[in-house]
Amino acid sequence: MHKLRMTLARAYMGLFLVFMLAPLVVMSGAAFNDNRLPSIVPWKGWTTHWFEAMISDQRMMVAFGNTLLVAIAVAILAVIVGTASAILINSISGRARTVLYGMMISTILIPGVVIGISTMILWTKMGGLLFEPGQKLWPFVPGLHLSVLGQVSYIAAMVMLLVLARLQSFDAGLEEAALDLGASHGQVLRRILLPYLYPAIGAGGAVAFSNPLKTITSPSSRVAGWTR
Amino acid sequence: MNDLIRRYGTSITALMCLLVAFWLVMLVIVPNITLFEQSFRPYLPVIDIGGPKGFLQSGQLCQSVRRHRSTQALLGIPINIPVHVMTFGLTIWYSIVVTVACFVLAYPLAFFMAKIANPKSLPTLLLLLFIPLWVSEVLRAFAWWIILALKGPLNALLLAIGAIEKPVRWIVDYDGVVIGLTYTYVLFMLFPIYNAIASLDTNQIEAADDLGAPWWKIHLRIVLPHAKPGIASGAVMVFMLSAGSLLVPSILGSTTSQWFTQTIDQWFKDALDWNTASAYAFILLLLCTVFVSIALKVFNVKLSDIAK
Repeated sequence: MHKLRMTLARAYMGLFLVFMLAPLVVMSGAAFNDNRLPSIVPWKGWTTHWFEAMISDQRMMVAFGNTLLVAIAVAILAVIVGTASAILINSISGRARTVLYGMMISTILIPGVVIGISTMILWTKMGGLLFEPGQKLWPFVPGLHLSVLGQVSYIAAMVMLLVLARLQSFDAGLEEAALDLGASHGQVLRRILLPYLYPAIGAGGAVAFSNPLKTITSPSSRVAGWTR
Repeated sequence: MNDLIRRYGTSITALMCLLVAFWLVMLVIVPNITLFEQSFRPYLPVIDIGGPKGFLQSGQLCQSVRRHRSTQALLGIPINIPVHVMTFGLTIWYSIVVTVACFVLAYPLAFFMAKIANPKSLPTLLLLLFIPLWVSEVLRAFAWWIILALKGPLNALLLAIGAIEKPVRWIVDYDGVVIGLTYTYVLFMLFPIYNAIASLDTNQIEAADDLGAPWWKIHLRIVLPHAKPGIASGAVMVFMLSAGSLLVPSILGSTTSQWFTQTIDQWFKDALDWNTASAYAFILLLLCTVFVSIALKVFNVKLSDIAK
């Protein structure tokens, strides 16, 4: 009986892995199939035609470049903001911490469409309040930078979670020692805290970079590249 | 706070506070307040904006919702309700279906990984499970679109082994959307449950087993109560992500399926009516928040336990 259950569990595990990975295999297969329809059946032989078509398509490459640009900007901003908020959260306690932490976490749960629309409206409205009609200035017109800001608002929370997890095992005594030995505040941050956090910051950066490559929030859907 | 100033000095602390304030105030709070305020403004031609007609009108939203009524059949009973209310209800309902499906799929696997699987093979297993997360959501939905197509691989496979007589149409009504969302978000259910079960003392399970409890009773009385925080946070993540997803319903939706985010998107981009769009977006945000708070209360879990 126990043996049977083990076998069943293994089989379920295997099936689940197939469920998770098969779509990716199918998709990669479809990219090489010499068939006008995107599918793997019927298989009409190998081709790299679709990749050539993508590279020669000017608009596709512009979209691809824009996507990369947004991803880099989001990664840089989200890492800075996320790390700062993790350090801040780690040093406060009590009610303020609960409220701040709750607010930061809730950003992950806000639907992308809501974030997109609210960011778009706020910035264009601010432009309308600050300037005469017709006079448009850079940060207040719709564009790629708004899509960056919209995405930073929740990706920063992911970075914050990663950095916070690493901060919990940090020995604050190291900083005390450095301060006692005469290090400046900037040195403490640069030489002691940040090197300790680098693995988490790196992981956060990777998450932050890869996320925009795959998300479409509402205003950004005009510019986000379909990279296939 | 004093601790921060002592360690990093006033200027660096101020800079950090400023960054956090910029994030929470400029990117989260103020946009949502603007969204709320925008919801109450009527949709006007450009020339009237800012004029006397541009003031708050709370009836605006109700009017625009009431304008579009249609008769729908709910569980076989025809009822006459506004079409967007219907869409919203269906979105919530199918998000719950997706959440339950994710739980049913993820729970046995989480238990297997935490308690039965060989610890040595676990890293490989986790790595394999993580691969889909590296691939874009668009591409994953598109892969399912390929698989579920009428002449796609799934039907070809089922025909070849003789399970079905003729090709099945998979992307009808909300079926494709539910399959796609379940696939996309099942991992967000798996990992919290796995973490929760991993912290359960195996001795408890063995003790129950020795005392003669059947396997289903062990799960019901020992494993499930212990995994409750993990299940709650997984459920909240999956539910919110499904209800807020725009990509999967757009790609895998059929002619008869409409997700509420699609409605918002159409108001915003096709109708160019930002006011109605923001009203709808705000309603989505509000009702989902209410739903999640109720779920957290029922399961007795704090928001700070989510996404650990």
